[in-house]
Amino acid sequence: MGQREFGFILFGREKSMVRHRRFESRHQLVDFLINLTPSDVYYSSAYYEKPDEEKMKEKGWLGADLVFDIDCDDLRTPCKKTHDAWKCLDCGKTDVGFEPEHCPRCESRRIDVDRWVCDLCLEAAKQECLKLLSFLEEDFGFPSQSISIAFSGHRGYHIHVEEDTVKKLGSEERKEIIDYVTATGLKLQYPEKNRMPKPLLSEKGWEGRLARTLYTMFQKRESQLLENGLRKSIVAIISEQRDKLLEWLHSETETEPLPLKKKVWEELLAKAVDDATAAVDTVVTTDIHRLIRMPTTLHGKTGLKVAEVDANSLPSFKPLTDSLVLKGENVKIKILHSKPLTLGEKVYQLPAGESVKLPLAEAVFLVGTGKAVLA
Amino acid sequence: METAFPQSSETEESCPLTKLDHAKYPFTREAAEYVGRLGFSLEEVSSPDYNTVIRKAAERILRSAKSVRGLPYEVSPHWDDELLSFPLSLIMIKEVGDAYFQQRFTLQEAKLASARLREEELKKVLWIARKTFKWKISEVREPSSVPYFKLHFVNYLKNAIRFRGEDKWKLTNRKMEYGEIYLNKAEVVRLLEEEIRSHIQERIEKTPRPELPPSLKEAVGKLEDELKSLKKTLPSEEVLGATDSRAFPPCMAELYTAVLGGKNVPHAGRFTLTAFLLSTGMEAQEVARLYTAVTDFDERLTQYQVEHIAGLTGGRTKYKPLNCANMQTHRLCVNKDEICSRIKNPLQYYRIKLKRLRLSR
Repeated sequence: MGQREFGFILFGREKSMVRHRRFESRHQLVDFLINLTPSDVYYSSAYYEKPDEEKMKEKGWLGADLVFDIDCDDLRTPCKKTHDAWKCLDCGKTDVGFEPEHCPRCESRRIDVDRWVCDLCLEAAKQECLKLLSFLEEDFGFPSQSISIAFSGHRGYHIHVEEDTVKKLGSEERKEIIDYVTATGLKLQYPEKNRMPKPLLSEKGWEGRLARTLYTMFQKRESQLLENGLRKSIVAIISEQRDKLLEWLHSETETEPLPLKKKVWEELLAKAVDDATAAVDTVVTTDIHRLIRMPTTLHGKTGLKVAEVDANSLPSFKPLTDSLVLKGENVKIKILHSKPLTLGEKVYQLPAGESVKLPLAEAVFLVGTGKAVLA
Repeated sequence: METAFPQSSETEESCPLTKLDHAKYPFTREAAEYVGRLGFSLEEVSSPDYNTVIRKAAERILRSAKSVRGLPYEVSPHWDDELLSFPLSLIMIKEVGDAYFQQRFTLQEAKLASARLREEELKKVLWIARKTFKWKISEVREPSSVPYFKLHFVNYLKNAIRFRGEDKWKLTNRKMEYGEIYLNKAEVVRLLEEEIRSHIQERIEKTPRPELPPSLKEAVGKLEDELKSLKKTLPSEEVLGATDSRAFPPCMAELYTAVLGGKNVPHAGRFTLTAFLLSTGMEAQEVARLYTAVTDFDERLTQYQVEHIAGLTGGRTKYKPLNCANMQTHRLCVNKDEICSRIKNPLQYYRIKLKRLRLSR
């Protein structure tokens, strides 16, 4: 603990951070928190000789945990159409859903986004988290007790690996780990010129992962495949040749000819790669001086707890229910932007302009995220 | 060929390395310990008994300055002299202080070691990997296959990131299970070569610069003269002709020093540097010569590739260096400065800077 740097954001001073703080004990930190009552608490994934030095060079970097960030802002979930919108700052064009890279009307890259988080977004983030865990345990061999998972309190999950073997890894090495879980630079070997590689189910690394992903894909019903984003013609081919394809993948001989056309196969492979990768943020992992939101504290914008989740209970974890901690009297607020809000078991979609009395947790979430003001 | 080797690294074994091995692999922990036991000290070097060792140490450095080749030469029958010449050469190259020759020296020493390791008994290779470099490596033997190895990914990454740009070394393309990467012997030795190179580099950095006894001072002086005259025949700033390396943009300066120092530069980097140098007016032959220090240098192939980029062969297209946006994509854009913000291609930078340099003269 004494080797980590701590940082805080204070109420009313959201633009700046109090940082370079060092605490020798939990007790000392708790005292400090009670005194300062910050809105957000962060700590460094890095260990330093002198975490309280202000200049990075003088801190004396000793190592850092391996940290991953999964953020549902990066995921193109269908629910984005129901609660996200964007506006071009140059021509004024607006639309709902995931923002484009540049405005389709005037090509401008100056785009303002209005983002929101819902159960579906966070469920998608959780699925990415589960995929990442399978990489960390099966491919990288990290023991489950060295991996900890936390709901970030807003848009996603943080995964920490605390292990001596990885502490000294530099940014470039960490980038290679990111590239592995995102299949960046993946080159499948082609044994012969016109023959597609056949991935073996039992193989290690990406090859086996792809084979297993394809196997699961070939077992799915037509409706699921369509939902999964496959083209109709491809779904028809899979459904027609299902048994043959499963049999082909199942037999472990490498030389059998492929029962599909090259183009179809390549499309399926690309889809399998897409399905199997874990969507992790590249910047957070490669930044070996990063400050990360401290688990068990509250998120300053949402009032939700940065909750630690056990890997076994992750599948059933409900972030917008299980990390609800604020309890208190109802608060009167005025809605500025209408957004679908589901906290606990209750669902709200309140029209803009309306003044309502809401339970404390809901009121804090809407005011903190800027969708309402105190009335 | 090799003797059976237990799979577990935990098993207690006696050291398989002999005195000859210490001379062949003078960078190992055991060789260093042996040197310690020989009671080697700098004062002793003044004695005429050490003339051979000094000469051998100078030879080690000169050999690397002339060409970086992985040809294993026979170890002389005086194993101890051969071994002692290594720590002495570290002191001498440190005293010379030229970063370029230091890099060539570490590279040559690493290449020499890996050429020997390729032919070495497996158990010795694994011993060195485990004891000197603390690798977590084990051998897997299956009756039907050639032996292969499992190496912890952290040991792998430390070395393999130097080969970035090569698909086969990319972690994504490796077979990995429970933190272990599957490798063949050639790959293990290639990674070891990299480990040895950085190990020697670190040793040089840590080597102190004590007051040298007269005989050694004299030898270093002679060595410096020889290196100075050698430098004239090597492609370096002084002999670049029309091309002025002082006007290189930061990205090209970085690539240029990397190539000169024998670092492994990814394909995109070599391509763009080659195209850049040719565009500044450097002769194709001269560009090809720059690559002699690079680890996987193949003279004929390099000559061909450079001529191809120059448009002298093949499709007769004269290639341009990558523009700034593409340099960024390939992560080759580094240390941007004020001129960088005004340009879209590294060549524009070169022209602007060249003009400034001429004006300031």
